[in-house]
Amino acid sequence: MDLAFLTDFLASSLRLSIPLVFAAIGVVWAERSGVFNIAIEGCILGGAFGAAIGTWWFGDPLGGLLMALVVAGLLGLLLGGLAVGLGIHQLVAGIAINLLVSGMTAYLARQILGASATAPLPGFGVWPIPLLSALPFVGPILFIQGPLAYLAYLAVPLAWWLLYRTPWGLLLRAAGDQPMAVDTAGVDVQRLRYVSVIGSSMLGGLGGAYIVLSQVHVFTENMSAGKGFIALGAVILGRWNPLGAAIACLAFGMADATQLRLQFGSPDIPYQLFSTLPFIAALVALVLMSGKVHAPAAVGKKFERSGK
Amino acid sequence: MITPAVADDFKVAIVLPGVITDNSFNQSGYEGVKEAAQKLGVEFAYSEKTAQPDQPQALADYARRGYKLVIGHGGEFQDAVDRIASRFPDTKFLVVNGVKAGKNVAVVSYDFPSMGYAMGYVAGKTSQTGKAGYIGAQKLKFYVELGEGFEKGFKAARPDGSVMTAWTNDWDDVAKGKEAALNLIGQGADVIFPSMDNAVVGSLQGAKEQGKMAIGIYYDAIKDWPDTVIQSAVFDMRGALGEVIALAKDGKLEAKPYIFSFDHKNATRLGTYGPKVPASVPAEVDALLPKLASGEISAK
Amino acid sequence: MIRIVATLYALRTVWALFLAFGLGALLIAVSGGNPLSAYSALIEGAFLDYWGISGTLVKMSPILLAGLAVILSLRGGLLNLGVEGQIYMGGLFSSSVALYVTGLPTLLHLVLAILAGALAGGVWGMIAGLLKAKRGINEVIVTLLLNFVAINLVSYFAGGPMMQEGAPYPYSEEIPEGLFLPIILPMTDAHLGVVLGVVLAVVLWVLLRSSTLGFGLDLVGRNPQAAHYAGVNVGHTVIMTMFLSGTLGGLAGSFEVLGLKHRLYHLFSAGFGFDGIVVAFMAQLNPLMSVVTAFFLSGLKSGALMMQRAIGLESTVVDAVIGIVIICVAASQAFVFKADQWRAWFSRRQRLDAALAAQPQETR
Repeated sequence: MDLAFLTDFLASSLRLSIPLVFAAIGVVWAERSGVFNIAIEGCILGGAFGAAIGTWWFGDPLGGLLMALVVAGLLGLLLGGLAVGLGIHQLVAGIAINLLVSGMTAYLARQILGASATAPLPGFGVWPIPLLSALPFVGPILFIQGPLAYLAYLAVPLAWWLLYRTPWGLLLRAAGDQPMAVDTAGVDVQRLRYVSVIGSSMLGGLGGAYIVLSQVHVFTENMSAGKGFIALGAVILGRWNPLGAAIACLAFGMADATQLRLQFGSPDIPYQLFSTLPFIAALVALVLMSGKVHAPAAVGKKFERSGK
Repeated sequence: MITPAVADDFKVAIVLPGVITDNSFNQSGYEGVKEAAQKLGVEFAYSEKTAQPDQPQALADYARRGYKLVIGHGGEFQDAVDRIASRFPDTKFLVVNGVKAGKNVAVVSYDFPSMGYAMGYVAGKTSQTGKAGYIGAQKLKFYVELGEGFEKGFKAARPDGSVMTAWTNDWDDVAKGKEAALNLIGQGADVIFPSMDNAVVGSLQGAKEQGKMAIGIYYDAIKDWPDTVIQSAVFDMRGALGEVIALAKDGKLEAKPYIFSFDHKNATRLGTYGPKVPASVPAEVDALLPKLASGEISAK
Repeated sequence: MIRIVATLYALRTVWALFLAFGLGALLIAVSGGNPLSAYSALIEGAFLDYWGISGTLVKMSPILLAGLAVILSLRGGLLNLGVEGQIYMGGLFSSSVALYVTGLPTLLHLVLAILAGALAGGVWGMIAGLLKAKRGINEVIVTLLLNFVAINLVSYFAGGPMMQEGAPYPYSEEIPEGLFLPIILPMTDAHLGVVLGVVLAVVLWVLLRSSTLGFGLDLVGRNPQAAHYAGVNVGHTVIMTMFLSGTLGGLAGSFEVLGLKHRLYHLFSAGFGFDGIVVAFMAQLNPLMSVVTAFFLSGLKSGALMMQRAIGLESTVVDAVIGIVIICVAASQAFVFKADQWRAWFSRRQRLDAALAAQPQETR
């Protein structure tokens, strides 16, 4: 295996994993606070839609980024209202939102963009980082990327630090494990969960924005293509830890890049079998890591203060 | 209650598997029927994004509503059309890219191998690395033939050249389409020929970013990708469907396969050459097309 | 008075539908359609005419069975998100038995094909049950991942070893005609699958109510610790639950192949497994109610297609309206009638009225 091939492979793995990284950190955030965010799939799609609409409106990818956050944030608010506020089953709320987003984005994209729906949009170019990008091997892989990729690099340690090294992170984790104790300490669990779900969804939206603004420069219907579900798997593999989840996302990205390359390397082996590779890798990893994995204790449970 | 409604006016309906905005197969089918209907002054209807379990119902429903010609857009409709056609003997059915005509079933398809050959020839004459990449979604008969024709044409123009093929297993995943293109480019290809639906955009984007060349499909893609596209495989559904719809309106549609090759310029033709194509190539290709259409050069 | 309030609450799904269709009407109007004619096309296309009902029943077969699969798993405290994959495995094995086992009497062959589908779905579901019971792995994510594996497997078989020679699309040869499920409405595609689905709904309802299996399942679902002390083998129950739930999904796939498609197609299920989740929750996990909710959801989906064709509405509007309907119906489930609260409120009101009546002059 020559160096050029390896560089190319790793760069491709990274590209494929960045939307997953954003989404997975989002999922960690929500689930640590006690809410399943299966709507993350819809948030990615909503973010992608917002990014396209915003870029088209303002003629600038920054406008797209803004709209991606707004759309995904609104979806988070909706999920919060349904799952936290009304307390309906969190997975059902999430699935309902996914269905809604899939229909609404396609509808609105046609209403707003019309015939120009598939024309390429301006996006973020590549911003090579001085000095670092000149490093041999890692330079071209890591440091010749668009701004959203750098944001993802920063988001991972930041999320870890917030979660494990700040009082707020402690509260958040407690809200997902022992909400009653948090409540007794005088902190509003519901509010904490609302904030988490909205933030979580906005991160999913960033994943969608990356796809549109840095990767393909166009919005197409249902372009999230199951990435949210893979992020959900990555979170479990990463044991609800932002660092672990990000590593799992990278692994998924590599599995995906590998299967694409295997498809070219061995055209005689049916490509469908390669397509299952990332999923089988995830299953095997789950089995190997079993026993050590457990979800936040109160995730999925509606919080009700006793003595109402 | 069970008798089908009968209407006198000729009406045509098309059932599409994908979205009408994909800038590819589905959009061209939709526009084909729309334009033909407007030109002939007949009523038309369409159903897009028709999932497989809904296809027989959609076809039957149009037949019942008195549409005289019902089109299934894609080979996957062959089976559903065969079944529904036997229930509605007075309605004509048409399968685009189908393989089997029947009593009241006609089939429209294109000469995919020849088109592939012509594109491969242009690519071979223009390529600098001598390597090209063909990207398809699934190994369906016609898309395999298109790729094989492409390879044959490429090698005819450049005997030492080679064509790599990638199947992505997804018609619409744009990111995957781009990855496939980048991958082929990484292996030395400098001309990419993607043949999916929505995902084509991703492949073209990948070629553009890398400063490489690409071939468009279904419409003259150079207008959206002026620096990237060197030629387009224009399968013009407007021409093909316009012709068969006009026949059907006059009651002359026969139950047979209608195959459109380069001798039907309104349906199968080349697009616009990009600036990177050597000046001698268009004349060479023009000489090639009649031979492909007549079968003198076999692209299979 | 309190009964009226209770009725209002009981009808909450209806109010949710009114709200959703109101919002949907806006979308339809914005996209240039007439909401009234759109909705009348939808209702007529779903429930009122012969063809419409047949279309609804075609969809109801997989949607009801998927709903039952989800209900069964949830009653045992598990969530089977893998019904979609189980449908695919069911279709794969049913069609394989139908195509490649020969020399059997037709009826036996048919029963064998159905059983093969059910078993395949069951085993596919049981993987998640085993991993849950033995290694404590979250069944939601395992079933979700297995969906993608199953879908790709079917794509491989339908487009590879089982593909019909020269087919323009990945599908297998047609299964022998004797194995087609009977059509229940002449001239349409409505097949026996939906009837079997309704029968299974009743069977499941009885099982969950009155058998030891149902008791164990319910107990494990509600309180695994208590179930353990009551002598129920929690691990076995988990595995069994996922197996049975998968069986129902497998049947849904089997009936799609034997009743509707008659071939193994790649991508033959249009997300029915996920529709099943909606059906299960709308029915509040009651198998009998799920017959009603499955009928409703199938009608909505089938009628929506009709609406698209009848008045030329874009499919994206239709998808958006369905999304709104599901959100509203889901939200409405949160409004549970709480008799105590309402009773307290009424009595407080009565006391207030009484107090006011006692001293009318002074307040003036």
